[in-house]
Amino acid sequence: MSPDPLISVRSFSKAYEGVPAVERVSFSVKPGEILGVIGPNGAGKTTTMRALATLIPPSDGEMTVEGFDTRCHPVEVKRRLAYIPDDPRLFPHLTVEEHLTFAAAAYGVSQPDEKAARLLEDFELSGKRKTAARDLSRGMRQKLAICSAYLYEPSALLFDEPLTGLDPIGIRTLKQSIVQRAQAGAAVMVSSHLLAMVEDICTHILLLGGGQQRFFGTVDELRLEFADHGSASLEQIFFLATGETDAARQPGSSADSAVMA
Amino acid sequence: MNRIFVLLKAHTAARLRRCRRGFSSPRRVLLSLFVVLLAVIWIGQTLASMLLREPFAPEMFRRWVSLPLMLYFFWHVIRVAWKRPETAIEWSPEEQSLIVGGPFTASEQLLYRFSVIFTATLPKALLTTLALWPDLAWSGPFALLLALVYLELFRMVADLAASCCSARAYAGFRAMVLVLVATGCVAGYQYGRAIVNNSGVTEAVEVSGSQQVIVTLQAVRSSPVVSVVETPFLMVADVVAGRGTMVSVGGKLLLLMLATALNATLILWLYRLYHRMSAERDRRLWAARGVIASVSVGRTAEVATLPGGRLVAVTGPLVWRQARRAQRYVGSLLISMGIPAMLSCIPLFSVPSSEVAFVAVVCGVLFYTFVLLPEAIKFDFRLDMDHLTTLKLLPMTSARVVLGQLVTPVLLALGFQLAVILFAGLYRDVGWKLIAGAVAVTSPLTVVFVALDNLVFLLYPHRPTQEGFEAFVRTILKFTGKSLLLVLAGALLVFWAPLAASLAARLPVVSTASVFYCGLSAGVGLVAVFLIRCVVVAYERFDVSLDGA
Repeated sequence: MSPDPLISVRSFSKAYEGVPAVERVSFSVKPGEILGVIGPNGAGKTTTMRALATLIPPSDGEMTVEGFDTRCHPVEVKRRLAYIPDDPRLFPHLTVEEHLTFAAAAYGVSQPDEKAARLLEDFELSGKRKTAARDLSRGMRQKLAICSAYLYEPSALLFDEPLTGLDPIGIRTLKQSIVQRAQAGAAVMVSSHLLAMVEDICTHILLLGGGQQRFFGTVDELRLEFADHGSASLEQIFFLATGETDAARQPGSSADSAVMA
Repeated sequence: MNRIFVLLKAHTAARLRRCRRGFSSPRRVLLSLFVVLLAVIWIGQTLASMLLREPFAPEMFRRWVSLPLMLYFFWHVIRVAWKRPETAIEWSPEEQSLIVGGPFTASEQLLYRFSVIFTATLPKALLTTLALWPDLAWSGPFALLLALVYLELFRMVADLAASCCSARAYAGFRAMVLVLVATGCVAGYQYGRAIVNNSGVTEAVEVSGSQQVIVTLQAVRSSPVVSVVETPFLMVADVVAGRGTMVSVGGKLLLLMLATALNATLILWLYRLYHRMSAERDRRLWAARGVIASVSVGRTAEVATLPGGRLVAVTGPLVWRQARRAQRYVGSLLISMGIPAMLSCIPLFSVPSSEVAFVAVVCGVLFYTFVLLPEAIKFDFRLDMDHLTTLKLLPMTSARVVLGQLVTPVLLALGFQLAVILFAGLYRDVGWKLIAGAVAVTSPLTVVFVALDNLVFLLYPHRPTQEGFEAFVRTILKFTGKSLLLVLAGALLVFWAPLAASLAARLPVVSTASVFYCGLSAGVGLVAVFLIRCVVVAYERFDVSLDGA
């Protein structure tokens, strides 16, 4: 018997001042699964993630994390979930280790020292323990946000464009850590435009376009639905599924020529 | 230059749009109505003062116009000496990316800044012109506008100069200002007292303590030193009032324009110098990088445990974080509280009755806590514009987040009040009952003040360094609103005092003072609870996707 989903979204819709941003999106993520959320700009990826993180209230539908409804039990949801935005807003005056102190206290982590030391080592921040967050580079801020999230070992992890600003070593470390967290039983959602990375680590795909759900399923099911051959890359499938033609985006295509003319 | 004006135009339009959206939002409709009411009161008051009042005596008007200009000028000098600005010019993140990071020269960047200052100063000058209308000459509105622009530019000059100078030069400047202020205070006090005593003012007429202070200050102002210092500001006042012939007024107006242009040029020069010096400092740091790296590695290797473990367990993460932030500003905080504390204590040395003096001190403390202190102790939501998403992600109820955010400023304000009240009570030996009564009333009132400021912020979020017309209107309305609330509180107090007396008469065991203080404390406490609840609701409803500044 397969385990119950840790993240469950049913008919989620969100409108900003009457203008719909996301309409009737449904999906679920079970322990050990990594869901890649893909789609063009404005597709509703960030809105969906922010709603799951209880940052914005859904206009309609139901969202649960470990069975806790985001609207009725936001504190329980937040205790079990980590949301890492593309540009994490850290507290500028706190140092790297003070951020971890803050996260440990906020999430009730007992004996955080050893765990913190290991995370700082993994993400190459050991030498920056005393550095204030405002003096860190963008990539290091991203790493610190990830360390703070991993410190309390959430069962659901939401990454919004997690590779922004990371160096190649950081990218590899993060990808490995995401897979490790999933193997340890966490449910992970990763929103990214880097389709190769999504294809590399994700077990499931949620494809959004114009606020509508275009597809939800495994990567193989996605291939079956949109490509006529099993070896099509996620990038090719993306263009097929979103109705954009790859050729139209190539420099020197007729569309570009028309614009240039 | 044209592209800067295009950007400014778009920026102004966007701000007006945001202002309109903020005011018309259904969630803020009550507060928006209140703001409109305040605006009507302000405009009404200004119009009434313009139409109904008689012109001032020319000499008095001249001196009253020059005084605030002079005080504002020297305030900038003292402010910069108190605390060195963290950056030479505060740019918002958007300005940082569009203006500083854009393809603009230093002069274009400053032109943008000057335009923002000008648009913010224009309504200020307009309001002042309306208020002083019966006394103004043809040159008055121009002179007021120029004087206000000059002062704003001087503020930039002070900030830039403090940022440019070396640590040693800044320390020297600081020491010099401190010595000058201390010498000025002592010498001024001695001089004023001597003049007043020699003139026999206090013997001839029975004057109160506050009148004595005013007479002394007037004597100081008429001293030769202050008269010399005040001369340029009196010249501005002459242009405002149109004193002298057309040629002399025109000449002085031209001088003022030249001074303003000189300030702008000085800013440009300092801004370029600042960039040059920043680059040089970076190069120095780069040259010393080997030393820094080895020190940093040596230090981090020793640390094994996370800092603040026990403390954070006691205070909770939010209070701990705000306290850490406040710790960085200890010097500024001490000064921000020390001066109001000294000013509040003036009645102790001038009012004969101990009880009256004590009550005057308490009222002074409350006034500063309500009107000025909140700006100095913004270690709450007001400095967390960029961190509301992080706060919203914490696994805490909204009430816990709000309490955690407000505790630090409340404790800071309470510490300030307790110190002054205890000193005043012990100095004039008013008895512990009066002291306890004062503390019982001021404590919940402090919660009210801090909660009110946070409520306004969450309903109309803004950055603390935001400039421009919107910030000006917000400040004016906030201070007007606070003044109205003070008046309302005074009126309620007048109503409650006889009621407490009649209640106490029916309960023979209890004293009138006890009934008065208990009732007052309970009433204010209820208002505090209500306001905290309002902050919680405002925080819950704060939408991080829509409500950014």
